[in-house]
Amino acid sequence: MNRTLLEIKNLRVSYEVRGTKAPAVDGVDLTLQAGDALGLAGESGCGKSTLALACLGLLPRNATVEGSVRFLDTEVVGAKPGRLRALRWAGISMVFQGAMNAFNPVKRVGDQVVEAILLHQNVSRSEARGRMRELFEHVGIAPRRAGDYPHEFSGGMRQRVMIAMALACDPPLVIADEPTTALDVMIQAQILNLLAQLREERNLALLVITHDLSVLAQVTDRVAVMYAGRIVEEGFAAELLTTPRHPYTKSLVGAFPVVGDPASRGVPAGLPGDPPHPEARPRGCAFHPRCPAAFEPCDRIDPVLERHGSRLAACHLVAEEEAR
Amino acid sequence: MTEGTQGHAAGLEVRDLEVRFASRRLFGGSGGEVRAVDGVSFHVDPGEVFCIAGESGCGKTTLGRALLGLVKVHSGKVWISGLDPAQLSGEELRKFRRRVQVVFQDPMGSLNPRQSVYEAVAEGVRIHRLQGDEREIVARALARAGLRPPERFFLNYPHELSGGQRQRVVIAAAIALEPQVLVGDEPVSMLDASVRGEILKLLVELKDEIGMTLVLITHDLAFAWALADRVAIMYLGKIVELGPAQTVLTEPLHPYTQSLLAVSPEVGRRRTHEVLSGEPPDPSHIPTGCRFHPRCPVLRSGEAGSQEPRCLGEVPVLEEPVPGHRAACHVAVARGDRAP
Amino acid sequence: MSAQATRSARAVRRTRRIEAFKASARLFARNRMGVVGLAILTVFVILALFADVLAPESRLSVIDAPGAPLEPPSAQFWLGTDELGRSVLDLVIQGSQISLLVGFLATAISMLIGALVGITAGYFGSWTDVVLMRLTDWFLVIPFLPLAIVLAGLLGRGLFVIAFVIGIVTWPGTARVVRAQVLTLKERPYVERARALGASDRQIIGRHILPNVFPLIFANTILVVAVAILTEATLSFLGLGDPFSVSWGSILESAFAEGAISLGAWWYLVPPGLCIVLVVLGFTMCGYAFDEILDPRLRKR
Repeated sequence: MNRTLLEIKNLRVSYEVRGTKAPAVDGVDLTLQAGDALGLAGESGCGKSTLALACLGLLPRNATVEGSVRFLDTEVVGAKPGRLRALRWAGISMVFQGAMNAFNPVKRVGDQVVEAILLHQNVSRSEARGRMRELFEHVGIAPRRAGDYPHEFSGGMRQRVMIAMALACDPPLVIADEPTTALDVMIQAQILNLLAQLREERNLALLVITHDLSVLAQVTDRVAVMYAGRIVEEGFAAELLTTPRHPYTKSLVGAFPVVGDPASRGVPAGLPGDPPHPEARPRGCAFHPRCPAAFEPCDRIDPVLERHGSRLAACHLVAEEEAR
Repeated sequence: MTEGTQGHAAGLEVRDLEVRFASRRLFGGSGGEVRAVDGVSFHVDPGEVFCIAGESGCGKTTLGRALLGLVKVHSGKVWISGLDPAQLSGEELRKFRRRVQVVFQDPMGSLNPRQSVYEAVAEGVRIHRLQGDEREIVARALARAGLRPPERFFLNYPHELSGGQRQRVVIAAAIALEPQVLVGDEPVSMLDASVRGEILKLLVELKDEIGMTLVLITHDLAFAWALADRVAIMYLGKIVELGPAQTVLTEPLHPYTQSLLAVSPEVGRRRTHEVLSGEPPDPSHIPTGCRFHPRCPVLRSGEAGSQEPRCLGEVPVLEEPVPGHRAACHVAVARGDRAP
Repeated sequence: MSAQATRSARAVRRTRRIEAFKASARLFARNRMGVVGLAILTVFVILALFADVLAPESRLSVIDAPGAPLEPPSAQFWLGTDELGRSVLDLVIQGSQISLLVGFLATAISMLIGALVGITAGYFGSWTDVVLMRLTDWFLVIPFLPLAIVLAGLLGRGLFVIAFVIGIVTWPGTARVVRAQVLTLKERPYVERARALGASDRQIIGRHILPNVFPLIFANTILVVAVAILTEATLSFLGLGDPFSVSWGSILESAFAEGAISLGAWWYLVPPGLCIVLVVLGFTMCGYAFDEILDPRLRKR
């Protein structure tokens, strides 16, 4: 039942920028099984979107990819275009960031979904249209609205259509990149509910990428936190988000005040400085210049991702705490 | 608040404010007009942190623009430090502008890509012909906003800075004028999570240091919880609940506030909850009676009881069922205590 | 520190402006395309300025032409001769004067009116916009030749009339494009922020709208220059200018009239056309360099 869908081993993606190679993803291992929901958390520049694109073989030409991304029995890294095309949408599909604005404004919404279906499946147009109506119902949109134009849909509805499109070929894995950013809280809740429901109905595996930890708390079982191209902490969502071990995760969690919690009153703790540019990775632990708990080895030795029970963490402090 | 700045911050008063826009639709809509702000009244004490919260379409952004005098007011009054921007023009309006500054949501969009950091901060200084050496004023503002050493940033252009740094430049440009009121329209929502805290901390520190009143507009209730002294919840152009942040967000009276809190995601736990049905409010189709009634869970569950006809036909007014805590809800007011 | 404080703000601003200009000049010099473009334009401007010395009027006399008709290039006549026996090289050099003068003048008029109308309409909106746009449409629709003839009748013949006419006819295109750009710029948060800072309309237009619209205007300029130079030829040919004066356009007209193509007299056709192309190219290259100066994002480190 729980077969391994996605297996990423030592993935490294570098971009060629002005003559230098800057690593956006710097050695990542991840596994995803059927029906799993994994959250990938991190801020701009940490490499999470690059990782998602790598899974689908959608990286730009100036990107160098090393390592392995295995979906079922297909190796995505270095795969031929034919195999990639077969994989995309039928194996893994993606709901892109800012998907709400990714519609063609002069084509009807239904037609755009039908187009997506016809691109990947060998069916007739009327069959595709029927499938489109099914999908719309599934995501909670009245099928008669297929004749509307994108601007007649609200942001939340467009996002639902995007999800419908992603499900068009019944893939076992859907990658959602910032699925609820820029949506109102109410709509966000609807979308998250929808994702959870779809997961249950179709045993859908989800990889949710976002900087918003509160979203991950709602919809994922496991969470991996990325910083400067690497995973710095990974564990069960409920545990990791209530008891983070890595100082970066702690500050991320702290940045989301909890209504009703008196401890959250007052300005949320922030981190000084900014996430590092891929071209200028600090020596030792990439996080140490901003880390409130940095100590002796942090600026010399790059910590490795180590397992501590159900939690993985790449941090000297955690390692030391565990050793005691 | 530090001693010398006690008198600097200004209070605000808004009374029966209405802002309307011509409707862009060819068909439908209520008489071709959208009532973005539909009768809003509140006051803010000097030095307070006041949050205006609500979803998109509720009118909070327009309200902010009205406070800044950037949008035409249909009726009602705004007083900041005793002055009403709608009544001012020319030189007087310019002087008013110095007192009320703004920080917008999009750090990149808020800066002219062709202006250097120095120019961006110096612009306000030049417009108001501030006394003193321009270079010094700019350097001090940048330093105060956390960009140190300021000289290093003078010749930078916006695209060379990070989101947090850009927002600091915007803040520097605002505080160079030593305003009495600072309006923040979603000031950190487009910034990375780890940077938000720093910027918010900066705003609060500056508030105390310079002596400002902060009016913060947000859609994020957690943000309001963390920062606000008092909060106003807006829905379809009206304030539906108003009071101290601690009470409004823990013991909400209005069913809309309750729903908002119920769906707000939390890092700590997973919610399984009833989500409000229907699409977000549309300002060009305002329901009769209480404008929240089509989605109101209290009404739907029948708990409204005797108030039901009023909910459908009579527009509720902001009343004070609990001292210091106001709500515009027939049921809540009738109960006179904590709603379910 | 105190010595600095006593320096007036104006003096500081002046030094900063001079420094900024020097920095821009340095940036321009670093941009190879810009330097080449400027060089090309300089060459032509010099040619035009010294045309009377390099290709004296005497040699261009219709009656007393120095060479045989339609001679191919030779040691004596580097670019051959025209149908009257005049040196094509002399013609091209002389022609540069009028072509460049009318071209630049017409373009300047067109740009000025177009930019002014476009910015005013776009920025102030409502009635100003409506009135100005109807005016623009009106000018767009007016048939060019009748207008030219009428204006020539009213204002007399000559170069300045031609330049004026071309300017009048080409500004609507610029105005529309500029207006569209201004409409977008007006909505940008930084414009709203400038207003919140207390900037007047004039300050906003000068500091925020104009710099961001200028590249567009300049890009349009390049297009108009070519059109202006060619249109000048048409009008001269129609007798609205001086029929005996020489311009690149008029050389082309004569060449076509004499059947230069079928006669294989390429030396008559290619040089004037090439000159027009080179001038436009020069402008384009300068334009790239200018864009880099004006838009900091395009600068190569």
